[in-house]
Amino acid sequence: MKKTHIIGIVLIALSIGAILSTFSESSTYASFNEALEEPEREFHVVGKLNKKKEMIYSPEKNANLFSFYLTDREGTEKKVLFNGAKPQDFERSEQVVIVGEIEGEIFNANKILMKCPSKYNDGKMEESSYDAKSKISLNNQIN
Amino acid sequence: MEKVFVGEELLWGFLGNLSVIAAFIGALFSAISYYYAQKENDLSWKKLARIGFNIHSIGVLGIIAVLFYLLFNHRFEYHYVWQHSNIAMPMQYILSCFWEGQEGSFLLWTFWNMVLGNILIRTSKNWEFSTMAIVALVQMFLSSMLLGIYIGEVHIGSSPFLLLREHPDFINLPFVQSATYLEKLDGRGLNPLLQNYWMTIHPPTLFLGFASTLFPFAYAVAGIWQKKYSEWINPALKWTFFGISILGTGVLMGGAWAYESLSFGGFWAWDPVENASLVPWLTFVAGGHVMLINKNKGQSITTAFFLIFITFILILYSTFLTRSGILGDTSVHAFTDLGMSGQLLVYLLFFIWLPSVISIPKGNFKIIYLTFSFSLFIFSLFTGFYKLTTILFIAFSLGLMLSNIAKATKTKEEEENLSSREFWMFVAALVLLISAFQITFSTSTPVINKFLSGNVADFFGWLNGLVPNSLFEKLSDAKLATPKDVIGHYNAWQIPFAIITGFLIGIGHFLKYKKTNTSELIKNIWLSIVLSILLTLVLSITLEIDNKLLILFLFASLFATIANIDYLLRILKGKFKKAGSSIAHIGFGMVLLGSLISAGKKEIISQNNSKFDLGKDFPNKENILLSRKDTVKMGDYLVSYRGDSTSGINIYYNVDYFQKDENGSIKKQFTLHPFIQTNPRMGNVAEPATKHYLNKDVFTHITYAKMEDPKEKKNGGWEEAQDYELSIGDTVFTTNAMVILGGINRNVNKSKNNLQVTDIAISAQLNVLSMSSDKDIVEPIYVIRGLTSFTIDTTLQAKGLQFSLWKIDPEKESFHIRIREKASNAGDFIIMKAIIFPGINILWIGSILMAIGTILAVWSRIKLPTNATASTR
Repeated sequence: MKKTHIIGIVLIALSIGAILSTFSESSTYASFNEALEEPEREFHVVGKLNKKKEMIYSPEKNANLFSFYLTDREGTEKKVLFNGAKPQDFERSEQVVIVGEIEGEIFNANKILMKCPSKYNDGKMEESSYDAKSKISLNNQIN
Repeated sequence: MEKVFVGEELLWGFLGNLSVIAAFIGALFSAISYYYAQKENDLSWKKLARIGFNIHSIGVLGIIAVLFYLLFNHRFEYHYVWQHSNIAMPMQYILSCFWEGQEGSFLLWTFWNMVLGNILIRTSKNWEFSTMAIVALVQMFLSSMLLGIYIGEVHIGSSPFLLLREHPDFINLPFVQSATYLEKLDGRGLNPLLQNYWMTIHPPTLFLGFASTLFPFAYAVAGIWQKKYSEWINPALKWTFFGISILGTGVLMGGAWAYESLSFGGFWAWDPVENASLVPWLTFVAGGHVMLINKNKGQSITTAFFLIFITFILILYSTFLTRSGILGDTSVHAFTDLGMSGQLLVYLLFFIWLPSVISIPKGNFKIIYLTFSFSLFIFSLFTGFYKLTTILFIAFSLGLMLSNIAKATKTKEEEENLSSREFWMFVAALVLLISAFQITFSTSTPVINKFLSGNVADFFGWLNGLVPNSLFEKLSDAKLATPKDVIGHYNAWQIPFAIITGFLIGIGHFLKYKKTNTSELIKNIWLSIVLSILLTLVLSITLEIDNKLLILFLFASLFATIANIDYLLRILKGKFKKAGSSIAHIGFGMVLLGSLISAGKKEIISQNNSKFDLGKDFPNKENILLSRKDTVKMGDYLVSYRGDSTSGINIYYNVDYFQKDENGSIKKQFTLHPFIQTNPRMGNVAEPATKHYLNKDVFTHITYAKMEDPKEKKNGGWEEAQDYELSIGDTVFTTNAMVILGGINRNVNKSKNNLQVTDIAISAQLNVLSMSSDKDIVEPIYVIRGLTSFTIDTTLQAKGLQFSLWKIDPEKESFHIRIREKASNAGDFIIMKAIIFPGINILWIGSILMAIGTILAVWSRIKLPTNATASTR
């Protein structure tokens, strides 16, 4: 057997290994109900923050505990416990991805990804009217 | 009659669009002319082609000039300007606005290609026609992305000169119908994450790196075209290593940006966008080294072709990944789609197709291939199997091209010697390739989901029905997300690759082409090995590294560094001209070493010692609460939060770090000012602050801070006053201080306090001691003027306290003191994270050496154009 063949085989084996490890180690997007079926497994849940329900963060007691309610894409709502500081501007988030495991009525998240659409997306009308105000106040300051 | 809008400057948009068209037509014209110049070897075509490229260049410069004019003058009637800037923004970030959007970044890319293209015209001599035909073609594609025209339903490109009121999002809104809409308009502003000096230098460097991958590619395609299958290597080598240097610098700058101003808590987090720029660099480095093998030994040419092609294609792919919005949920800095991804895909497929076509030697086969690709296209249009056909097309085209090249360059097979430099260089290149593959594949999970969804997922569902297992089930779900431990996932693969690479880098220069004498090799290398082992032992003990893989990694990176230093000093004797490669490899070794030490031994000192147990082993207990004036022990430091200060849109939090010295007395070491950039529209962004030492960095990041509520400002931000009746020597406590009535002063300086000579004035001497034991003395005054009395109050801004002596009771000898506290005193705290990164400077020094070394190597190649640079001795 030639060396090039051996190298080739090793290369292919490593590629297959890399592919399989990506698949096996990857987590999965799910809804709360799907996550409930496998409570021990880690899932990514995409949803919206329920702004009407309470958000609790009392750093005086525990700086690493933050709780809120999230409604997933199917409309199921669960309480989420996040073991970290409350992300800046969490109230503004439009879409939240939480990563963690579910335990009955509570989802224990260890990671939060949030998206404030205004950061990247096109603005809406009400934002433009806001702009108008800010410009006027700025002009006043200059004058 | 057409409606007139007040204040619009439409001439600029017209000039801008004219420039776009000039850039597009010029490139198209130049590409066609260069094609004929090459085909017919006719100098009149050359003249036309150069004119075409000049028109293109002027067009590109025109677009840039107009866009800058519009941004500098806040012409918000243009959507791009409105979207990416505003009036309040500091001017130094105008550059960032320029390339924040897709149009701007494509423009930047086009600009660098144009600049490098002009250099190529002047330096490539008899390669000019064939290479510039490719470059001009690429430029035509890139300029088309700025066209912003509709052909039927198809939208081609997106112009940065589109008017706000004509933008699809605005066209039907009532406010843009008003003739005076511009008067009140301000822009949306720049994403606060990008208002950072790194953002003014990182994108241009990275895009210059992106642009530089085009030139080896153009040479390679030209090589196939002219059937000069290995002659292209020599002129292309300097372009390749130039690109490696710039792209590498760009990637590392991205890491530096993440480290300095994002909350990643490290310089490399395997973020998809970071990965997307790293991967082409890896294949580029591999390609450059295989090109060197070919230059010196005349073999492995097919691999060199493959790696240079794949680098160019991966640049397009990573642009697609980051710009198409497909990464959405997985990355902090993915961009939203502008509908350009389809165009990008066409671009990508075209440049796979083109070299495949020209690699086919006989006319008949060309027709067969053309028929094949065309029927695949038709098939996918009608059946909707476009994902499978795309993959099939890419695989088939690449395979066809490579096999054609292999056939055309077939030489007598020569078994490589195991002790030869070329063999191990080749192995190293393959390690880099497989490393790139692993990163690409794992980063592509969103793309894989897209690919799986629909009929492919159904297929796996069917397979899972036959042979139920978790893999097939996962694939049929098509909902793959990033792994739980992202960093661990990548490290598990990449650390072994880095170990092999490090070892090969160390040994590489001591190997010789063809065959190395073993005893000579050992003689040359034993010292480096022994030194590296010793240092590995010392470092792993002092840094307490006990993971076997990490110890091996430590050894490999030390060996890479030391062996190359040895080679530079002992064998090259510091000869500068040949030193480029050694210096670059020393740098690479140090980058590995620095990332191992700084990431592997980073210490989160803001450990939370909360009494609350979550009952689960949550890893994230890294945030700590720090009340104002409170001092908390963190690692070797005592950390104290001293309050905030506002400057412009930034709120700075002043955090003092104290340390005990040998005598046991506590001394302040430094103050850090991590800050929060307030941005009412896009959300506030916290940026860390870092104290840099030679051997370590102390990184401090605000994870949460109570923003001052405007409602609290109603009373000027003061709480209700508290009254105390005090005798001399009495003490009261406020939230943040201890107040002692030290005595009474009956001789108040009247002129200083603007009092009349006849006034009776008495002041209370109050000693205000804070928790951190600094002392202030304040003297509120009580004044009697005739029949009335009034008070002169004293405010201690630093502590947020206000004192008033408002009544004196002579009988009881008591004094009534009124104290008001700032509302923010009560809840004034921050939640912060502090991390120590040891040895991160090794990484930065390594990065700089890598860039310098590679540039030095390019420079010596330009200076010595003959084969004299071959390092065979």
